[in-house]
This record gives sequence, C-alpha cells and structure tokens, in this order.
Amino acid sequence: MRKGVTRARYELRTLGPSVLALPPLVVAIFLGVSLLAAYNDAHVSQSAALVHHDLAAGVLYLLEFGIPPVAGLAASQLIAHDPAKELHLAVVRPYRRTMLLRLSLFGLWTLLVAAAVSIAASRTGYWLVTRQAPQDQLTWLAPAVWCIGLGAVLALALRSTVASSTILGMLWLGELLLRDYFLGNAALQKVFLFLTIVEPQAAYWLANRLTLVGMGLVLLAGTALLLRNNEWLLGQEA
Amino acid sequence: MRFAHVIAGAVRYELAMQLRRRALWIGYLLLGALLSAAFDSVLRTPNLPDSSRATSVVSWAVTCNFLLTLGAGLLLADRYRRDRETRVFELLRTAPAPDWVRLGGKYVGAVSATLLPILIIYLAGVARLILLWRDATLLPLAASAFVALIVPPVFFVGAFSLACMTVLWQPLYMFLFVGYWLWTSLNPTGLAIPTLTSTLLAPGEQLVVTGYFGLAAPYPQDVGFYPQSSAALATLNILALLACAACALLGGLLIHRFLAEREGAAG
Repeated sequence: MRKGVTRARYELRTLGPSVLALPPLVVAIFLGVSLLAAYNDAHVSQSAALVHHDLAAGVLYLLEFGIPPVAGLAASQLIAHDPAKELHLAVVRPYRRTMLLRLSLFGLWTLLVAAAVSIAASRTGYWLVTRQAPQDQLTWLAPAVWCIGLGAVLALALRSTVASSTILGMLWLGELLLRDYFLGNAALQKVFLFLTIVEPQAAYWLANRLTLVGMGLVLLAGTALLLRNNEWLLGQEA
Repeated sequence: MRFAHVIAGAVRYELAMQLRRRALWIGYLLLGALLSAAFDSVLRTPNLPDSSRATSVVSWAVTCNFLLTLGAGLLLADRYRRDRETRVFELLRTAPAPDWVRLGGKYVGAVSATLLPILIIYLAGVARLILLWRDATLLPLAASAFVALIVPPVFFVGAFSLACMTVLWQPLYMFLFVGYWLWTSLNPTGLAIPTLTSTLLAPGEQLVVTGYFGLAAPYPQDVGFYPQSSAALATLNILALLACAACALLGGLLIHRFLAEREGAAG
C-alpha cells in the first residue's frame, strides 16, 4: 500500500506542474471571461438575473466545452512523450503499467477539478443543468472520458502528439460549427460532445452521455493495447 | 539573390517533409470527410435560404477557412520544435547559410505543403457545387475565394505556430491557439465580451467576404459576421494579416537567436 502511494507520488512528480496546471488554467480562463461578461452585463443592462445567468452559463461552458478537450490534449502529450522511453521498456515493471498509472493520475486530477467546480456551482446556485443528481455529473464526465480516451489512443496509433491534438482540436470546434448536422443525424447526435449546452432538454441526453462514456472506455482499452507493442512505441513520426 | 538557392532548398525539403507526414493526411481526411458530409446535407436541405451560386461558393470557402485553417495552425506547431528534438540545430548552426534563410524556407515550405490537403478538400466541395448546377463558370470565383479567403489566414497562423513555439510548451500553445481561434470567430452581435471578428485583424476575413465578394447576412442574427466593407478595407485586412505574420516571424527569429546565443554561452 505504502509502496503504491510512493509510486503514485513519484509519477505525479514526473507528470510535472505544467501538465497538472492545465485543468486549473482552463478554470481560471473560463471563469475570468465569465466574470468579464457579467461585469459588462451589470453595467450595460443592470439586470441581476442576466448577470447570474451569464456566470452560470460560464460554468457550464467550462465543464462541458473547456475542460474535456484540454484534458484530451494533455493526455495525448503525456502518453506519447517520455524522454526515457527506451530505458522504461528495458526495466522489469511493464511500460504499459507506468503509462496507464500516469494517465489515470492525470484523469483523476482532471475529474477532481471538474467535480469541485460543479459541486461549488450547485451549492451556490450557479448550476444550470436540470437533470437529477448524480446523473447531472455526466455533463462533464462523459465528454472528459471521451476526449482523454481519444487523445491518448490517437497519439499512440498515429505516433504523433501533434496529429492527435490536431484531430481533437478540429473536432472540438468542428462539432460547434456542424452542430445542426450532428443533431440532425440519429447516429451522430449520440456522440455530440456539447449536448447540455446546445440542447439541454434533448430526449436522447442520457443515451448520448452513456454512449460517450462507453466509447471513452473502449478508447482507453485501445490505449492499453497499443502500449503493449514495444516496437510500435519506439517509432515516431518525423 | 545570394541565398536564393538555400531558401529554395529549405522550401523544397520542408515541403516534402510535411507532405510525407501521415498525420497531415489522416487528420485532414477525417475532418474533410465530416465537413463534406455536413456540406452535402446542407445542400440537400429543402428550406435552404435563398442564396446565389456565388454566395454558396464563398460560404464554402469561409467554412473551410474556419475549420481547416485551425488544423493548419495545429499541424505546424511542431515544425520548429522538431529541429530541436532531433538535435539538428547545432549542425545547422555550423552551415554558412544564415538562420533567417532557414526559418523563412521552413515557413514557406511547411505552410505551402499544409495548404495542399486544404485545397483538395476545398476543390471537392467546389466540384460538388459545379456538378449540382452544371456551371463551370464558378471556377474563377472559387479560385479567387481560395486565394483571398484561405491562403492569407493559413500563412498568418503558420507564422505564429512557428514563432510561438520558440518559447511555448506545445500543449499550452495548442490550447491557447484553439481558444484564440474560437474567440476570434465569435458572433459579435449582442456579445458582451470584445472579439476580433469583423476587424482588420480577423483571420476569418469577414471584411474580405463583404468587401471583395459582396455577401450579405442570410439571417438577422448573423449580421455581425457581415460588416460594411469595401475593396480597400478587404485588401487592408489581408495586408494586416500578412504584416502580423511577418512581425511574428521576426519575433520568432530574434527569440531563436537569443536562445542559440544563450545555449552557446552555456556550452
């Protein structure tokens, strides 16, 4: 048990403050922009209800639109980039276990940050999601698991962090641009990441969330499988 | 020009290297398929707003610019860092060609190569429109829309992707870039926070869309994307983007020199 905690502490140090700082950075940026919008509203319209709504919408955007893709970008970076990869592959402890531990620790940290924000928002009345608890927590959990899984598996499958991040980035804004297309298609509406923001009362909301969680878990299983292939891991795109 | 052959060599090398990246083709293939399917479904919509054929071509160019230029910026983010990771910086520093020549060649070559898949996706959409209406006279308009609406923004983001990566950590740059892209593409109508949309610094080139191509807002809520403009303002929009790109490259070059000197002193 103690050995496990020491190991987890060591891997957290290996992840470094830069990766761990990304989720809190997103929180700071989204809350900062929401506060600016609320400040502007307070001076322009002087409507307390509008200010309250803007702040609550900012929290929803942060949790469903902000944190998940950034977590995906960080996951693709940490799973594919280890400067001592060759050394790791030569030691007794399988490389796969080390990387999965790192990914789990980062995933856990992201979920902790998101959960803290959602709990704080619901306690203070800034929670716009009308679904019952704990189902409402799928608002951020489902896209976060999906993005982390996709970022990690693409970084390994394409052997390029940049390729993985590019696909994730284009999907991120592409889903917003093509939202009518996604929502109008019976299959694609189940994988639309930002459903709570765009269509909060959709009848297929729960199906969408569960599909995203299921796909995310499959993608994470794919990540674990790819981590078994040492020869594949050693090659990298030019 | 004294270094013309070096620039040509760097351009050729970077162009070939970027074109041979699987990431470039797989990324654009996935998004191109999604974008084309969505475009096709829009064309099949029975209650499509009454728009002319020319408007459809320009709107397709605007859509490609929004999504595919974002991808270009992300894909170009590792071109500078790669030289550092493969440790060829020290080797290149011993060559007689100056660093600005190499950086310039890298910029032109890598950005030009990234434009190729964008051009292919764009042409696929244009071909769909031409086949739909059996009207090949749209081709010159399509070519000018590509040159005016897609090429300058790709060179703009490409310059920042090279320059910013001299100092920024890659995931942080990517996150900030996607955030910037979203912010600069927001609909300014009724928006509380300021945005670059419809200004001279907008890579979405809304001033070019109205200034050169004369488009008007199809829906009242989109009026912020269609500012009053003229041919002169449109030209200024493009020049402002290219000037920003030049400044970014210059900044990147100065940082690169500073880092090289510091590393030299440390060594």
